[in-house]
Amino acid sequence: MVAAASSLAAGSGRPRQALAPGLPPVTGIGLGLRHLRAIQDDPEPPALVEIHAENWFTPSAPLHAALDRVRARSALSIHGVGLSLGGEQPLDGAHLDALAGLLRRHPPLLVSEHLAWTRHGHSHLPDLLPLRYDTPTLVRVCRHIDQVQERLGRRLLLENPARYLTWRGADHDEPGFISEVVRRTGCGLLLDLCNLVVTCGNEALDPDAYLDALPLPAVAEIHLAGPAVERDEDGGELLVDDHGRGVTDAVWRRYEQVLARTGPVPTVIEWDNGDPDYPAVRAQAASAAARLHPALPRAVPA
Amino acid sequence: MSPLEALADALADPASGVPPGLACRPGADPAARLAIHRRTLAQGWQNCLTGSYPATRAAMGDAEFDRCARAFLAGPVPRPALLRLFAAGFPDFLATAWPDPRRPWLDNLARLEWLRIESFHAADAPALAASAWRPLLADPERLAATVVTLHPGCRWMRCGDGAGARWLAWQAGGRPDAGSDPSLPVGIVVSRPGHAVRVDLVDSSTLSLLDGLAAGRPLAAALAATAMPPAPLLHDLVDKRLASRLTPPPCETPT
Repeated sequence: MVAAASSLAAGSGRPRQALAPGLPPVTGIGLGLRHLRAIQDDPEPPALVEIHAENWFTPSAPLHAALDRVRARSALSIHGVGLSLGGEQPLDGAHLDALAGLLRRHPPLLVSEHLAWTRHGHSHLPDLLPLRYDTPTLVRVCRHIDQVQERLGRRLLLENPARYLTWRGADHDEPGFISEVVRRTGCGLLLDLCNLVVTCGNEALDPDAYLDALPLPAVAEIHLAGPAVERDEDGGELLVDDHGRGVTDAVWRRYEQVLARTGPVPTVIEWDNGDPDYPAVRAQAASAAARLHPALPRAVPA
Repeated sequence: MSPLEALADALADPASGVPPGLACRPGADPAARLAIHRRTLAQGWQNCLTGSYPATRAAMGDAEFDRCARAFLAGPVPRPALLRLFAAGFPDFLATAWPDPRRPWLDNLARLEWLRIESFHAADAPALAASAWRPLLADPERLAATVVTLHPGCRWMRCGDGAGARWLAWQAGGRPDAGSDPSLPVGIVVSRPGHAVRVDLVDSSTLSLLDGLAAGRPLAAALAATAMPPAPLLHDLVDKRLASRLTPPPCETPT
């Protein structure tokens, strides 16, 4: 297994070192349960696999044994979808405990969650809902991330959202909000380039300016996917992040652009809807690797 | 009400408009954007049901299952943190809110599918093989007083409507709504002897034995309550690896 690259300075709650230089330049796939058998049978599995944390909040021995076998050959990224970092309620302590237990059972290379909210009262909503980028939200998100990092004893990566709606009354634009969260909490950034393309496309934002405003040195993981294209009322493109196809050309171009600025960053293909074949998803990870490795020399620390 | 609460309420009510404060680029319709979130939520929950109840879906047909799933979603169903648990109440919903006189076994078919999920996600424990029983089988007095702890993945149900046979037929590539042999056993045992979940049809006396063991009765007492010859029942218990621990009485030591 690849050791975790970051650690927290004792008592500070802040990471001691930058993330990206210590991370292996690996690419991989989001591992849904449907591909669990196929990846174990793959003679050359992807170097990195990412699981949705909540799918593994189970004592099921068959599942954990399978993940042990996967981890013996691939580094692991644990990606949460249900902590509700932006929620108005306190974090669910049982959920956080389960996440900590999963990290102990399957030590990962990377741990990430979304800049979103997913819980209302006792109801958990399987979607990533938008936040108003105002000061109370900033304080709340930072408090929650501090709590998670303290509990897990490691740096969390925060994923930029795919958005269809914007709350009025914001104090920050989205990249500015993310930058401030990163600055205040020391968390890293999981840069989802499909989400970036979706949000900028849907909200008529300049993706170059968006990228420029992000704290790129904090990027420790990249997600790639292909959005669905629908139509808005006025006939304009409405992009939907549904993980239902391979990476689109627009996202590949952004990937190459970002790698030129960040150097190699661990990268995961997200294609878990539409019942894709394992080889098709695997091939996407190989395509990402082909783009990642030419950038390798830039990543070697001096 | 906070903006996030207003959004949660709007997502829950399809007739509700876009909450104040939510917008999108000029020319686009915020209501259509809100509909994307409603659709994502519905798909997430519906996919959970579809993935949990494939045999039930095969029996109902895709269109009816989807209608039923939408009706289930529209009700006051718990929305737990673990998405897979959302599907737990579906068999009861089928029984109470979607009764089907043509397929009176449908809710039990769904119950069996849920038991399989529970078994798969149950805690780890050894599933004792025959070799673990052998020393006790050679000592009938101690065997009689032994408390048998069932494997955490062991589940069982009674149904005289053939749901178990229908599930097995579906698993073998057939249709669950084909006819079922009424002479087949009425008991269903779901177990996890290794890494795979297994389904067996058993006599109701085996289920009585499992009821007794689950209540903590020693083996002889649990067997006696079935009023059946013990040998085939013991065979089921051992052969299907339904036990995870045997606690015999302490050996008497000479004074």
